[in-house]
Amino acid sequence: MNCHDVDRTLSQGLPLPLQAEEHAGTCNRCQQLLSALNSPVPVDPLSPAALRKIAESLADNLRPVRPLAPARYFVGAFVGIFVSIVALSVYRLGAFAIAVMTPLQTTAILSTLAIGTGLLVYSLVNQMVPGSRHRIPPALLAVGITILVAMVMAVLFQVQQEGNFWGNALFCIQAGTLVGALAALPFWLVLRRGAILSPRMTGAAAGLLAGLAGTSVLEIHCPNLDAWHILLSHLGVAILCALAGIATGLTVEIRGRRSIHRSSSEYGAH
Amino acid sequence: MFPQGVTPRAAAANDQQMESCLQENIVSQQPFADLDRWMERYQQADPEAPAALVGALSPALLRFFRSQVASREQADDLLQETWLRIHRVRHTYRPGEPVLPWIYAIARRVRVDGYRRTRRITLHETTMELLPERPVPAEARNRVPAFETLVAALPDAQREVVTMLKVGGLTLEEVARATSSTVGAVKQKAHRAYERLRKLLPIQADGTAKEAAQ
Repeated sequence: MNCHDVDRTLSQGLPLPLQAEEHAGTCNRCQQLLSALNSPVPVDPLSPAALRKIAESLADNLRPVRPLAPARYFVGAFVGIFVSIVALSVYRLGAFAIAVMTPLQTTAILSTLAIGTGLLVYSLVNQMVPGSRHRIPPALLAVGITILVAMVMAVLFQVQQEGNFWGNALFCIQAGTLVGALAALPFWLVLRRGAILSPRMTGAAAGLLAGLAGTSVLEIHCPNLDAWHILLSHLGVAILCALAGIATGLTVEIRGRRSIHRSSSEYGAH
Repeated sequence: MFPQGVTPRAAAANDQQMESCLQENIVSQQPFADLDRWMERYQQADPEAPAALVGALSPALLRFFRSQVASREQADDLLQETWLRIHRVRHTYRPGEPVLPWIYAIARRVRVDGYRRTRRITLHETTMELLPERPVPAEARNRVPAFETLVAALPDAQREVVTMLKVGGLTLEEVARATSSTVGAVKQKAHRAYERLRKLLPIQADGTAKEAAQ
């Protein structure tokens, strides 16, 4: 047993085995580290009056609340909204891309979008409840899904010569962003049932999910199979919506910070 | 009146325990035992629940904040804000789920917001006079650096993990939940933190020895 093993045992959150304690007995650094880590943080005790003041302020406006519904209801709500918006938009715009894509392209791109959607929904539902278990950190997930979709698009579609590249791109971005905006509103209504601790991160995830609704509609509707067109204007919709989500989250964060500061000043004055 | 599984007798015993915490401000693992039941009662608007929860959790939360921020006043403000936020989002606690990660996730967010606000204010402040000399820290006497002195040298994410583990008494799984991370990532951060602390130790020790000699 050496210092490295002691570090490893400590980081596993396990009690130190006998060998580690024996090592610490002979190693000055380990002894110091363990003593420092186990030393209590000196804090003057809170006065019972201060604690009582906090407790009374909470008890003053105490009303029964119904705990948040189980996660599966929210998963159902998000998936239902996503599918409804995509179905309605495709019904309105038409499914021209399905006719020109190969079965492999259709299956691969729609499966990737479905996987990305599923993972984002799972992450968003967890983000609504503080202290939830995350299999993948939310920040990594949003970036990972964007990269995954981009890679699948780049592999499946080829670069083709196109006459009116920017005109077509603008049309798709407009249509996709509109679908994203339509999806974002009901997503926000579901999200506000929970406690959003990091509005920027949740905004990015919700924006990306709404954007993926737009991207899905474009993948089913747009018969243009040029790789650059798909990457810029179809995936671009998802990225634009994610950026809009971050901006919205930032605004909410700043407003929330001000309102908390105000309530706490009022509490102090009270 | 009482949540399922809580007998009046047990509840009375809990009341006494929580009351004693409120009175004496004791930090121990014991008050954490029935937190989930108290949270349920809090959601059901039991008027005794806020006092019980505040009494049981505030000392640990204050230590968490105190090891992360500079002054006691700031720590007190953060504690107050945390309870306001807990009250506002109490419906998001799902009965049966662990309480500590839920509480610490909120406390962590309050700390981040508090840090950003303080930084914005201090950017616009000008120091007019010298600060009073700080008293000689306890570690100068016994040569073992105090916890908060030691972890102050760590990056934010590592300091947060070590503080939750050592001060909050959370498990790796609970820290992972509170920080929206994975157990693997928490272990890695903790491991890096311990390695870094070990490297800092001789410097700390020399520094404190010099202080003691002066």
